[in-house]
Amino acid sequence: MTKAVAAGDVRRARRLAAGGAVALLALVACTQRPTTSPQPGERTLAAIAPEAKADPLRAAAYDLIRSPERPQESLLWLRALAVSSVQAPSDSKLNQVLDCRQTGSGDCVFRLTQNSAEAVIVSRDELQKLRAVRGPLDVERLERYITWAARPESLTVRRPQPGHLEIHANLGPRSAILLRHDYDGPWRVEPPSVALREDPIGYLVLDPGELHGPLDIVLEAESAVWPFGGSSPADKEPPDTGKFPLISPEGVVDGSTFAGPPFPPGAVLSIFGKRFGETGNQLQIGGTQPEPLYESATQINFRLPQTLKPGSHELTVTTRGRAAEPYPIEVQP
Amino acid sequence: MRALLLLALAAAPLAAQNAAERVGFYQWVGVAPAGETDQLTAARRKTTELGLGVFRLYLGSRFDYVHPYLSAQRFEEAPDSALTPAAILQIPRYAAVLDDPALSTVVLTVYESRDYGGGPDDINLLRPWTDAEARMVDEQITALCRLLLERWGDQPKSVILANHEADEKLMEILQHSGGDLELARRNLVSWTNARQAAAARVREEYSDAALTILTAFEISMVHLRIARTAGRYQKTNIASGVTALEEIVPHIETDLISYSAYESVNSPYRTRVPDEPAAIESRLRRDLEQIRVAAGSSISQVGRKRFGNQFVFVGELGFPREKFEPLPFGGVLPRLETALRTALEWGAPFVVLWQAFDAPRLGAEGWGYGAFDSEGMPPSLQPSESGCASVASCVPEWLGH
Repeated sequence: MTKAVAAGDVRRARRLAAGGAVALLALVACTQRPTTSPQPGERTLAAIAPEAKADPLRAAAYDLIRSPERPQESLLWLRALAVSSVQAPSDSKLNQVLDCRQTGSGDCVFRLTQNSAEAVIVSRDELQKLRAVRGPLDVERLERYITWAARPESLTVRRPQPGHLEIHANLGPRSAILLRHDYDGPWRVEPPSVALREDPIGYLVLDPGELHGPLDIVLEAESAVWPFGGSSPADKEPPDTGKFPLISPEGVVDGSTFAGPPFPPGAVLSIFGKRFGETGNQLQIGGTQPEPLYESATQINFRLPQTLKPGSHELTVTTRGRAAEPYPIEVQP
Repeated sequence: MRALLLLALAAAPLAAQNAAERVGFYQWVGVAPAGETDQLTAARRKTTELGLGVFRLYLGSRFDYVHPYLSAQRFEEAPDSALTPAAILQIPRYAAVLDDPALSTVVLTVYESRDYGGGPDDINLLRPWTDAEARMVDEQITALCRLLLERWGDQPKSVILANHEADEKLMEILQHSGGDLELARRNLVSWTNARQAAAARVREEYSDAALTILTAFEISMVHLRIARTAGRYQKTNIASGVTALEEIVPHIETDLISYSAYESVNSPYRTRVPDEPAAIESRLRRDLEQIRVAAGSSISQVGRKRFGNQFVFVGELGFPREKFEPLPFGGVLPRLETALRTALEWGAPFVVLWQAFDAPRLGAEGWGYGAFDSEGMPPSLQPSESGCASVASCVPEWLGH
């Protein structure tokens, strides 16, 4: 249905004002089974916590959802993460954007009407056009991502044993499979012609190339990551697998405007990616070693040297002795 | 106003038909009253309790009116392998809609069922159209029509087989195919014509039946256009965009056109900001007329014979109370009354109100359309001129029921 467009929501604002400040969203585990309780296998927010925490961007989004701030952006992330329902106190911020169905304990279950499948068929052509989501508040790219991931075809995922997934799909031409598990494996895939790609929020995309029609794929998690259907890493940090830092596709942008290259010499740039260090990252470009102005696990800011010559250069980030793949950027005359 | 409405209806081509028999509710995924496990039955009962004769429902494998949308538990009671529209319609809560003597017109938003690897799903028009799709559509629509005519053929009802807003599907295909308009056009036209051909063939086999099967092609955009902006295909004011009315309708045959009328009634397309309730009349009349002119050559002989030039009905019409009630210049009721009166006066054979129960909330999208709230009660609205103060009390009054 096409929804109406209209003025602000006065009624909702009144209700919020009457209720005072939005209480901290202390999400509780979905252990009870009231009439509104989730169905077995549902992707509740509690159930997807392990996969969310496995990636810095999704972890930041998970924290945003759990915070008392930004209900609209949190809703976008609930959609991007394909969450089916959230259980939370009745005065949570989600009351502003979703229906509360009261549970026996006085909490609410907030349910989303969307395809919350663990795996869905997506367009592999359109994947190429998506750009990495740069942070939990990068709404424009997140909305494009949600549109891409919302292609409405489901497939079957079975777990005959921990660490082992069997996927059955009937693919159309130029299709791929979005599997809502962390891209970082390592994975072993059968048939090996199926390529593993990363989507803009760090989920795994199985790209069968030109194959289409009925297709069975077996995916095995190698030992360093949590096994499907086995013990969850929800309560412990992901192990340090010693992997290399990664600059996201189109992850180097102007630090204030988010514009892409080319950049003028002296511009302050932001590098978005993953597995950077909180400190001690080393940058290299055009024979210079600019100092980071800001560092975190997913973002580094730095100033392009004024002396850099116009033309193409390769930017390298080295973290804990491991260098990211060089990233090409264009410097303006 | 009520006298005017009744006067207008008396002059309409379908005057022989009681106005209330031309109006009813749609129910899709909704927030039914707490404890109500079967939204379909609850919505049907609410419709007939108000004396309305039209009811619209979704007939497909994604939602069963008992479990959440796309729930793995949906249709637990149905055979595993055959969630076709005909199989679903035989489930008692669905069959009860056709059994209900108070309903003279049932609109089925029907989607054929296909398995893409995850069990029964709606047919997906993103994939290239092949003979396999054509066969599957023909088989499932044929089976549905035969079921309707064999089981309910002696009842003087109309059953309209419709799609859901073709513009949404057009946008979806463009979105996921990287803007392949030719694919979108070919798929939507082939699909619609395959459904029409199957329905027409079975209709001829049962030419003595009292029950009439009709087809409708639903659109939602008249002036707005689908165009790529900000990296996505969206509804815009960009003149170079496309609509189903222009791209698809000229190439199909159908008995009726269904118009999902939000573009006309909720806000002017240029500003997309609500204006005075009275302005709805000229916009809706203008747009219904424009659709009639654009779709004229696509209407079947059956459609022409039964409806003449009045082959455009309003498949969805509604106003979310949380958006419109706070406005300083009239809330839901004056708008709904104007839109309903205009549509019936113009000659729309049916008007379907969205919807019996509220849609689930999802952010800033409109959701408070329900005639009944989550406690099963009509939400109070600013009173109309006559003093009625809810959709549930006003609509029967306006229709003189």
